[in-house]
Amino acid sequence: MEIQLKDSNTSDAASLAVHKSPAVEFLERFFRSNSAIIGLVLLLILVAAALFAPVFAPYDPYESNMPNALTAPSSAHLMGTDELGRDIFSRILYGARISLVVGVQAVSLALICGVVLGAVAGYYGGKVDTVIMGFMDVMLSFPSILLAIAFMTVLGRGIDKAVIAIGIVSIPQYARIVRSSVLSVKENVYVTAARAIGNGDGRLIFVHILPNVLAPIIVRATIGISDAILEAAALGFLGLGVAPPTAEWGTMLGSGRQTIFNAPHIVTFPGLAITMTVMAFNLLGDGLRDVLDPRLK
Amino acid sequence: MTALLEIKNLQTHFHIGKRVIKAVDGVTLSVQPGETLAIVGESGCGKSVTAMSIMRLLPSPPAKHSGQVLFEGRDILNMSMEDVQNIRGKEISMIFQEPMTSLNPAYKIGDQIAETVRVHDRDGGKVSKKAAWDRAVEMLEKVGIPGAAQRARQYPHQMSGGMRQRVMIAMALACNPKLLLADEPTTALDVTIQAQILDLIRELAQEFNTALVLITHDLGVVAEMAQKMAVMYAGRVVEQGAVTDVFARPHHPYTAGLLDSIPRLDGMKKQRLHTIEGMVPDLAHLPQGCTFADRCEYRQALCGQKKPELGTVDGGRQVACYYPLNLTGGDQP
Amino acid sequence: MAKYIVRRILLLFPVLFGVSLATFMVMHLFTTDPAEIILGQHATTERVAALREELGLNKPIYVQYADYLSDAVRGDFGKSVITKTSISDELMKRFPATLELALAAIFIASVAGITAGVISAVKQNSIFDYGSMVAALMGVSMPIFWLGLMMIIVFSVTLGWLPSSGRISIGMTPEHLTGLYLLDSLITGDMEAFSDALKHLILPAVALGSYSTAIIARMTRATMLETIRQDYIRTARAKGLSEKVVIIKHALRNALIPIVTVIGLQMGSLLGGAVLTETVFSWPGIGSYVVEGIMASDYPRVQGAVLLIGTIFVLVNLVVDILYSVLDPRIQHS
Repeated sequence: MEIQLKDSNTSDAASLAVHKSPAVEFLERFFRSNSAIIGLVLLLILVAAALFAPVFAPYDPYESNMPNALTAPSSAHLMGTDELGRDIFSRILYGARISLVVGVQAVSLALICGVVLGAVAGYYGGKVDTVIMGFMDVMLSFPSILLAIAFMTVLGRGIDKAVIAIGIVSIPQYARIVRSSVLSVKENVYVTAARAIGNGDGRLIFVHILPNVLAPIIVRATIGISDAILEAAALGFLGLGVAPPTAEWGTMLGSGRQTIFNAPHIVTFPGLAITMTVMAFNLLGDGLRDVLDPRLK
Repeated sequence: MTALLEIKNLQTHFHIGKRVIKAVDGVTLSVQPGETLAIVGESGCGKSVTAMSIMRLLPSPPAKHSGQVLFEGRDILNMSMEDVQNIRGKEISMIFQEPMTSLNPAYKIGDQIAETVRVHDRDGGKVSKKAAWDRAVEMLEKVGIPGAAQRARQYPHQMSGGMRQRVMIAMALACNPKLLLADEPTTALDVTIQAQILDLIRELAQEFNTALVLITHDLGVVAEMAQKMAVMYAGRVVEQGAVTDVFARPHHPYTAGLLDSIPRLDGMKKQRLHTIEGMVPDLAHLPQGCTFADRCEYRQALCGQKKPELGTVDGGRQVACYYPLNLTGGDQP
Repeated sequence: MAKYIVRRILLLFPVLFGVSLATFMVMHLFTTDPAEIILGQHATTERVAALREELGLNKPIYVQYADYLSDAVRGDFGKSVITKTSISDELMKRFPATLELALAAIFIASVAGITAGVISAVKQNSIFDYGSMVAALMGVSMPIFWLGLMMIIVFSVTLGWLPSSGRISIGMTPEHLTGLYLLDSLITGDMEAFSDALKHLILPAVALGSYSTAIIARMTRATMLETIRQDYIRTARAKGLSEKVVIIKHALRNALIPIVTVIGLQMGSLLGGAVLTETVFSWPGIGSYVVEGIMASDYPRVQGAVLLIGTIFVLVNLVVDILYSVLDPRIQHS
């Protein structure tokens, strides 16, 4: 009985959708997903904060004011001041820039390397596959944060180095997804047909195969940004990430740690900012998964 | 003789969002001890929902029941869940349409049968694990599974669909129930296996003196298996009576239509198969009058105004129609 | 089955070889000179040369690796360049602390995650369901080191209920049997030490397990929702089983396969999280050893600890794979 009800619902939806362009259909489904909308709204707030930080920030995030150090939140300092008397709210606004940039760049780096490696491994198979995936397996044999720490130890501190470290350790995830997706589409008739009319390997992979495995990659990359932001914050917290005095949320947490007993606000707000950012990408990723590829759920 | 099962005006409605799907909307039936009743109808007519309602197997919400399902005089719909659980598997058992997926893939089939035996041993665990296992093996032998002792140690995925349905039958009969509900038990099986499984059900029902409610859309199966039949249409029983009588003289136009649509092998009538014109009504928007009126060749003004109730005609035959066909002494249309 | 396990164990060797090589390479190839990192850029040339000699850095790289590997196989990870003590001894001493923390975290995460997931699935769309899924979203989005700090602020600083650092109060350390304080104090019957150790363990274990709790709860809910719609669940109800037996014995048992996989994968992420949690709570385990090593530029220490964690990670994954095949009778191992 219930099955029949569902059938009639889906056939309704299908018959309605026939006349719409894929973009319109995507948007309609996207805006029907609560998590996608909440994620998008949070993200827009963050992007606005990052872009207009100089406009919104009431103080210079780097100007210390020792007599005013460690004051609790007040109307003058919305989130209080840190151990050097800097305005935490202003620092958090500027910190949004760093977190977003590190997250997006690290994932882009991982994505480019992962897609190429995964596609090559999946497409050619054999020894190439064994070598590439063997390498990936070794990387996956370490907790990624530990590997990132190891890389940072040898690379030294800095935003660009954090991007490289986090990017490298996330490569295997993308390589795996791309490889298995390529394996599953490789034998499809349309790929065989494209090969038969004389397409080269590169064209086959990038024009005929990859566009068909885009959905899981987009979803993974969106959630991957949240992982990257968490890892960047962890590196900052351990004193390995972005060097002070740069306003980076993890670093703010790390340096505020000493004073939690008398000024708990100093770690509260940067942590909330990280949580909100990570949540935005998680929600967006969950929403995109529902919209793009319900089977992944 | 008191009926083993008596269903009075059973309604099972699904409340989904603002819609109300009247899957079963007024079913009245009775089954005597040891007899076989066949419920026939097209898919979506409410046969399976009726069977599930008897066992209270439908999740509620969304399902809502009203009416009565009297089993040995006690109304199952009003029982506590604990009482229902005591009846399930012990007094009333059920076998389903999908043998491939109806067994738990994580347990040995012997354990799954033994579990039924042990759960209904309410007298405080007198049935030992060993005794329950032995009973499981015995039941597997009874349903004709060769090498039952070894087979009991196998998992469902190691068996074919026909074998799994035999296991389901063994499980259903392990506690010697008074009533067995079989919901299209052979539909999913190979044609060659279907007859074997039906024979098995019939033989075992006889041996255990179990009453059988057989749900099917196959009138050939009805003729072979059942003494009594009930025809369902759009959530209602439209006709009920002895199989031979109904086949000989269908009173309801829908039953007549169904019987006409059986292909005949004797080649006597070289005419095209009869089909009933039109569509089954939407269960969320049932018409005010007779649900079959839209498709009925014999419809009259009254049919569109008020639903005909199931009434007795012709001494023991029941039909829900204002203008029944083939009445003895009546006009033949 | 036995064949499968043997094959999986044989496959361990190339992976462990890769792990050791990777650890070695990160520390040696990506840097110009570990000796310089250790001593800092302003060290005198003589001191750098002396340290290079001491660490064997003057030999060809493959000889260095061969030395390193043959030492590591025998359990010798070299000496800390700062304290000059044996790294293996230090790791052995600290390993039980990390193990106890990780086990406590995965225990809390499994119990809380599975319970929440099952109830959410059975009562889908209820307030409990929404509440626990929002909590799970928070759980995967919060940095665990921040959660740790917030818990210290609330439960140690403000309420004063639980200690904020260390494994046990000074002078209460139970006799060393397994190195797991809870177990050791139970065995020796030292209930005072047991409750003290437990109090120290709660906050770090909850913080470390928070992410895993959320992941396990989500996974449990999703698989349970799928499982309770299966035909065999209807069969189980039709047999007359109580709802509790239907849900736990029939539904959860089948949902367990993906759940156990997730729990196993979480064991790995816990090892990574331990680095952060141990730092927040000054927990004397391998994680804080790594971080202290980094701060001190003590690269043999970092190398040894990373190799140990990588090896444990690989072994945990092996156990999960084997457990998986035990749980699912349908998996055929040819």
